[in-house]
Formats: sequence, structure tokens, C-alpha cells
Amino acid sequence: MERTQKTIAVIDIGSNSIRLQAARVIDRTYKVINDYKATVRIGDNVYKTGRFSDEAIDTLLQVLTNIKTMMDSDNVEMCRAVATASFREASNGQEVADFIKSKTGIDIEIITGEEEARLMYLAASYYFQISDYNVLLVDMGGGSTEFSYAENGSLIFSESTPLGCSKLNYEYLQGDPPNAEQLKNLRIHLKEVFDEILPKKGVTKLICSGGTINNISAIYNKRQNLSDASVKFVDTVFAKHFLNEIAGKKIEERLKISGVEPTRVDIILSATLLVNILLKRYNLEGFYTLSGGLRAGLTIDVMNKMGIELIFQGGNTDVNYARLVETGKKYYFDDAHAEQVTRIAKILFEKLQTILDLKDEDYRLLETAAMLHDIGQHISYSKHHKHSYYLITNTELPGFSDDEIAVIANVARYHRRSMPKLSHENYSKLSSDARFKVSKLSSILRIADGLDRTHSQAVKDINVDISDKKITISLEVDKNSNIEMEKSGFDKKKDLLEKITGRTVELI
Amino acid sequence: MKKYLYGIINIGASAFRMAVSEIEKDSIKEIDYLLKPLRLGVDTFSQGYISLEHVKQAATILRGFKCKLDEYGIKHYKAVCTSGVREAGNKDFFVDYVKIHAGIDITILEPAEEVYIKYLAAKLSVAGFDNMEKEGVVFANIASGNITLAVTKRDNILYSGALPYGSLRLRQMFRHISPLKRHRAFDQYAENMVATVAGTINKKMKVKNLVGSGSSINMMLRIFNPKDKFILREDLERFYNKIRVYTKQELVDELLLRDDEAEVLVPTLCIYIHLLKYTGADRFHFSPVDFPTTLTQFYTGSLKDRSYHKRVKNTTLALGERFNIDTIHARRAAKFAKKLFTEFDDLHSLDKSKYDILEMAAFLFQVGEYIDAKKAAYNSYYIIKSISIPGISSRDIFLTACVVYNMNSILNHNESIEGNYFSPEERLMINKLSCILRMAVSFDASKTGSIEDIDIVQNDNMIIINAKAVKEPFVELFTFEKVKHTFVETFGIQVDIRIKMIYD
Repeated sequence: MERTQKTIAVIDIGSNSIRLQAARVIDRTYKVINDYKATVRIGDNVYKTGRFSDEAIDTLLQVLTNIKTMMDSDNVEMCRAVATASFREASNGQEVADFIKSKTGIDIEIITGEEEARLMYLAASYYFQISDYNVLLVDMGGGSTEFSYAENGSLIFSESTPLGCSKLNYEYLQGDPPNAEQLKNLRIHLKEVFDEILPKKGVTKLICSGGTINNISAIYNKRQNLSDASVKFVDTVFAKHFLNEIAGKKIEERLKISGVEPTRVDIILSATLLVNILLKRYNLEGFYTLSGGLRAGLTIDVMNKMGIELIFQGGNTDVNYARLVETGKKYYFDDAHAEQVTRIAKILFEKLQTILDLKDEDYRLLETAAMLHDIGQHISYSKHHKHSYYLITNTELPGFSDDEIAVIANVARYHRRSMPKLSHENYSKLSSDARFKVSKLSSILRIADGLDRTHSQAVKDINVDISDKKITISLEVDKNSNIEMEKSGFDKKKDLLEKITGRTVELI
Repeated sequence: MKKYLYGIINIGASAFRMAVSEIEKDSIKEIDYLLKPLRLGVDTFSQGYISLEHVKQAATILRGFKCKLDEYGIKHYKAVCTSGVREAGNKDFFVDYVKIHAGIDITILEPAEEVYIKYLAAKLSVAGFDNMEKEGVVFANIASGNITLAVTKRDNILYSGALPYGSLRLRQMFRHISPLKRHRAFDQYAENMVATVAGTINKKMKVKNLVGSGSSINMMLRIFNPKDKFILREDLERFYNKIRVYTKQELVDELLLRDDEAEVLVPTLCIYIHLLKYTGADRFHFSPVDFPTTLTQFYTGSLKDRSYHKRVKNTTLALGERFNIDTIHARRAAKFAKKLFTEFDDLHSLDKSKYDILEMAAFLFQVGEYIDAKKAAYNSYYIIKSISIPGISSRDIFLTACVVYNMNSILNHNESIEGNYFSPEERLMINKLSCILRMAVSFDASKTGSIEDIDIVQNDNMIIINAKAVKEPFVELFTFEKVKHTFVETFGIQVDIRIKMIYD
């Protein structure tokens, strides 16, 4: 269990907040061990006067002194601190950075908007299969908003614009509540900028980041009773409804809305308006938010500079798959077994899809469950199927909704021992549709796991024949392979498939 | 110590055994031993429950044992069962039926307890075991239902578990395969078992010795007739290669084995050979002490574990390290917790054994952060309640998990933890230990060792913690302020902290 262990930290000094993220580098992945946030709107004065006020400098010093103490506690060996729009725009930005360095030892690097966009893109490619979409990335800060556009994985442009939510709020929405005219002017301004720099159409995925936009998705998640995750999806209907809900409200009325952060109560309107215009422009069903985007990008960048390439950056361009491998490695899974079970499960899925009435997209769920079905062994071999359920339920799996994660966790849970039963709480709390899906997918996973009972990858290929009364599976194995255990594993685990198809399942 | 008689009943997967012993201060003398074959395991391992017919037969055998106990006038006895009953779906029915129809109270041994007792017996009966442990030992007890395995090195249990690879179970699993090919299935299964165990142990951690025990040892002794207390690997392999394709009848005829012995010989040899390959050892040592004797020693207190505390401590910390805990922080928290527990003994009035729970909680409270820091306490609770530590009962493990779960709150009357309700005594104990732990953790909240040591001054109205600090303990003071109110609610007395800076 030897691993590379180094603690690194990144500090993101934005206009509205200062964030520290300390992470432990473990082999080719990292684990966040400290995530600290101080919401201090140091940029407000910059947009009014062009300079950091003495009060803002004091606040900055106090927060960064605390952060330094935390980094020392976490034994941070390498740190990168970056400052964005407010420092770029403040005439005394570099002077303040030098002052902070002299007092705390933290070297603040004032990065360009383009660098900010690049880091954001790096983070997005960690969480999303960028190559499958035309992606517009929007990182909305207090002072600026960075847009990056990538077509099928190729970055077309990155542009930094002065469309930060605090700045827009200051320049356009000074009324409480802002009147219709002010809103209209902001709308016109945003459209003009978008027409100038963004594609007219073709964007198939909108990914946003930044504290205020994340606040919108947090409100949505809260209302929908969804779990907290780094990647969230917000549908267009909600975005539109929420804009209408807050547009005519005074600040004190907005404060009463559950989930609205008091420090963002004024600027949330400009962010909501911006995202609504983009959703309409590209006729999208919703947008994704990525919390900690810049910090994730910075962390990856620091690791790359240390000579560490993360799993998703390797030859394997399937980001989802890379994330599964990463999650599996965290729990010391047997990767060869996981991949073999996934391979067999895929063949079975394709052959049985029609009689099990499964949709193409259900394979993603099966694939994830197959890759992670044994991770519970890290807690204990005994009852490891239940531990896998727990770990999958409580591990962030970007790209999957809560309902999908519940299905994946249940499929992994039923890879051995009992078949799904209504007396099991984890199963009974699923919707009826989800329960059917769990039964069908776990019937496949059980057999796939049984066919690699010895974790030796002895089965090279399988063939499936389906008749009215029987499903016959034949195996292709190496001449000298001993597959007695696989046969026994198959016999033990074919029960669920027999039950739900009403056919006998045989191995020849 | 007055001489007395003690009875042990062991309900195994393939036989029921009873030993009656005369116990004196420094000696145990077995005066009667009964063995009744009944293969409960055949039911359990093939259909998941014990058939009614076998339940009734078990009650009949145990009624006979009870008569024997009464004949001897035995007042103290213990009846235990292992995997043959433990894994049966109807185990509660079995236990209840036997109690009603035979008058015998049965305890179902937990796997961790079973491993611990067997390991301890081997440790005390095999010459040179302690020296072998310095190089690492795989201890294997091959029983009909399970193999109990403990992998130890220098007072650290690297792995322990009762694995479903017992000889009768294997035999049942592969009963449909012809004897000519069956050994290949055993081979694969044993290889898989070794891989499962090896996968949980650091690959650099070499373990060089193998010690075996279990009812099969007597059969092996008859076959190999070793001059010393070990059997050579080359002898085992040569013999195994010769007889692995024999039918049961051939084994009975040629080796003069009983039917039940002949059934398990090939899987037993196969498992030993695979374990020998894993260790790289050229021989395996065996413990001649059988399980009923071991149980008698254990329950009469003559099986003393002198390095118990050290081993539990090392094993707990090693478990924590699997989840990437900050070990130094854990040790500091445990040190402060010990001091608070000792100094506050008149406040908490808990017996000293509860300190073991507190110490385990101090070592393990961080484990949940490995899954996700957002729900760390709940994750830690889940992990801790799911693990097993040889020598620690599952109830104590569970209570440890509850102490950690409760670190951020106080358990109120009628409140449960995840649907588990507690007696008032247990609830108070959890609250007290959680309170001590959260305060102990606060003294190293920055994880930097700023506070080096503490002294406690107590008067009628107030407790003062005098903390000696080597660095300004900003985070410690901040955290202490947040947790100190729970101290008043738990112990009914105010607490405060004074910092004394120690400069070089």
C-alpha cells in the first residue's frame, strides 16, 4: 500500500471570497483534506475606486494569516496562490501582493483572465467527457467572467470579459429592487457582448462555475432534495422560474429565500440573468455547475508541474472511466478483476438488452457498478457488498444524478449473496422503475462476477444464445485454463437472471 | 484456588464435542471427552439453514451432554458454536430450540472472537511462536466450515478473519465435480483465498512462517507421523500430488481414515500448500491443542494474553492507517484522552475497561474523512462498526463507533443512533466518552502538537486545564471554546483552560 504522499495547497483569491484547498497527492490522484472559505468581498472597493481600500487590505492579511496557520497544520509542502480580477484591476494590486508576501510568506500570483480560463478548462476536463460535446465554460467571478469554448475536446478560444457579477451589479442594478429598465439595459449589454465573442449556436453543454452561480445550483439542489456534489445540474425551467422569483424582490425579501447566501444576495440577480440568457441562446435544457473549478484546475496544474499526470490525462481519454479507476484505486480494488467483470457485463448487456428491456444509457450504470462492485472490501471482506453500497452512495460520482447513484449502489450491493428484496431498505426506497432496473442490471453483474470468480481473467470471450425457455452461455477460454471455479461461480449467481427472465440459464 | 469441574461444549460444523476438565490454580486436567458426529455444516453450507431433522438430532445429542454435565454435578459450563450454526439462516431458532429441548444455553462465537481464541492458544502452545512472530506468522485454523486466519507481525495483527474456505464447505461446493478434477477447483479456491488475504496486506510486509491448528491436525499427524512439531512442505506436496485424485473410498482404505476425515483431506492439504507458498516457508508448525481444550483454557482464564493491550493498540492504529489517518494526531488525542479519563475518574465513575473503548475511538475517529470530509463523523461510525479486532467484542466495537458518531452532540433520553437504542448506563457512557474525546481532540485541533501536555486542577465549582504549549495554540483555544459547554452538560461542572507557554 505504498503511495506517493505529498500535501499541496492552492489558494484562490477572488473578488468575493478567498479559498484554500489543501490536498494530499496519492499516486496519480489527490484527496482534498482541507477546504476553507472566507467570504470577504475585497473587490467591491476596487470596482468603485480602482484600488484596494485599507480595510480590504487588513481583511486580506487577516484571512491569509489564518490560511498560513492552516497550511502549516496540514504540513503543506507546495503552495500556489493566485489572485484574479480584483487584483488585475486594482491599481495597487501588485503592491498589495508584495505586502502580503512580506507579512505571511504567501506569494500571490496575479493571473491573467486567459490563464484563469485555462485552469477552469483543465478542471472541467477532469469532471466531464469534454470530447463528446461542444462545451461553453463560464467562470463567473465578482470582477470578471471567463468564457472558454471547446468543440469535441479542442479548445477554440478563451476570453476574459469584465462581466463579473459584482461589477455588473454595481454598473447596472443599483435599484432595490432594480427596475425593469435597469434589467433591460443589463440584458442588452450581455447580449451585445455574447454576440461579439460567443458562437451563435452549436453549444451542447453549458458548464458554469463561480461562487454566485454555485449558490443558484445549491438552492436548486436544496429544493429538489438532492445531495451536495461538486457537479450539479440545474434545469432551465428552474433557472427561468428563479429569475422571475428574485427579479422584483428587494434585497431584504431575497434574504428570506431559503439557501440564498447573505453575502451574495445582491449579486445573485446578475448571475441568474446571465445564465438565463445563455440557456435561451443555445436552447439548452439546463446547465451544469462545477464548484471549486478553479481550485481543481490549480491542483491539477500543480500536480502536472510536479511531473504527475492524473489518470484522466493518460492515454485513456474516457473521463468517466478514468474517474472510476481513480475511485477504485482509492479503495485498493483489483483493477484487472474489475475490468474483466465490466468487459463480461458489457457483452451480457448487449446480448440480453432486448429481453431485459434495457435502454442503451442503462449501460453506464452497469459499467460503474461493475467497476466498483468490490470496493467495499477496503472496509472489510465480510459483507463487502454492503460496504460497496455504502461507499458508492457516499462517494462523489460526477455525471450521475442522485437517483442514478442509488441504482448503481444497489446493483453493486446485489453482486453477491441475497437477491433484491423489498424487505431491504436500500432497495425498497427506490422507485418502482429503479427497482426493476436494479434487478435486471444486478442479474447481469452477478453472472459477470461469477465468471471471474478466481480473479484470473480466464474467460476470454462469451457467447449468449437465447431461446424461449433457455439462455445458454458458452465460454471461450485458454486451452490450459482451469475454470472449475468460474463454473461454480456461475451456477451460484445465475439465480436472479433465471428469476427475472423466467428462463433457465445454462453454461456450456 | 479451589478445585472445580468445568464443561465445554463445542458445536462445530461436522461434530459436537464436549470436554469435562478439572480446574486447579495452575493446571487443567481433562477427565472426559465426548465426540458425536453431526454435520450441521452440510445443511448450512449447501442450503443456508439447518434442517429441522438436524435441529432435532442436535437437541438429542445436547440432551445427552447435559445429562453428562449433571452426572458430574457441573455448575460451570460454556456451550459455543461456530460457522455451522452462525451462518445458518435459522440460527436463532436453533439456539432457542436447543435451550427449550436440551436445557443448554448456546453462545454463538463471533468470527473475531473465534480467531482470537484460536490464535492465542497457538501462540501459547507452539514453541518459538513469539520469535516466529518477529518475522511474521500466518496462523491458520482449518475447520470444517471456515478457515480462521490471523496474520501477525511484531504485536500487530495485519489481518484476521474467518474465511468461508473450510474443508467441509469446499467439499460441499465441489461435490458435483469428479474426483479427477476436483483438486483443481480446490486449488483455484485456495489461491483465491490467499490472494484475498494478501491483497489487504502491504506487499512489502513479508510474513515467513506458517502455524496451523484445528481438528484436521490429528489426522495429519497420523499420516505424516512427524518427529518434531512441524511438517515439511516437500512432504506435503509429494503426498498431495499422489492422493489428490483418490476417491473417498480409496483414501479410507489406503490411509485408514474415517469417512469424515477422508472427505476433507484433499482440501485441507491444498490450503496448507497454498499458505506455504504465500509465506515461502519450507515447513508448517502445528499446535496440537484442540478447540475444546482451547476453549476450556480461555473460559477458565488460564489462556492469558500478556501483550493484549499492545496488540490491540497496534492493530487499531494499523486499521486507521488503511484510511490514511494522521497517526500522530491520533496518538496525541489518545494521550490527552487517557489523562482526562484517569483524572476524571470520580466524575465519570466508569470502570477502567471503558478506557479501551475511548482509546480505540481516539485512534479511529478520523477514518471517515477518507471517504468524504463532509460526513466524516458518520462515515467513521460506519467504518468502525464494520470492522473487527480480534479480542474485542463486536458490542465494544459498536460502542466505539457510537462514541465517535456522538462526538458532535449529546445523546438525549430516548434518542437512538441509527435506530439503535441504549440502556441509560450505555447512553451515559457514550456521552461521557464522547465528551472526553472531543475535549482531547481539541487539545491538538491544529494537529501541530502546539500543546505538549496538560495538568488538571479540580475544585468544587470548576476544573482548570493547565496546558503547556510550545506554540501559540490559537486553533486549540478556539476549538476548546466550542466544546467546553458540552462538558458542563455531561459532567455538571464548568471547565476552563489556562495556557502556559514553554519557551526553549
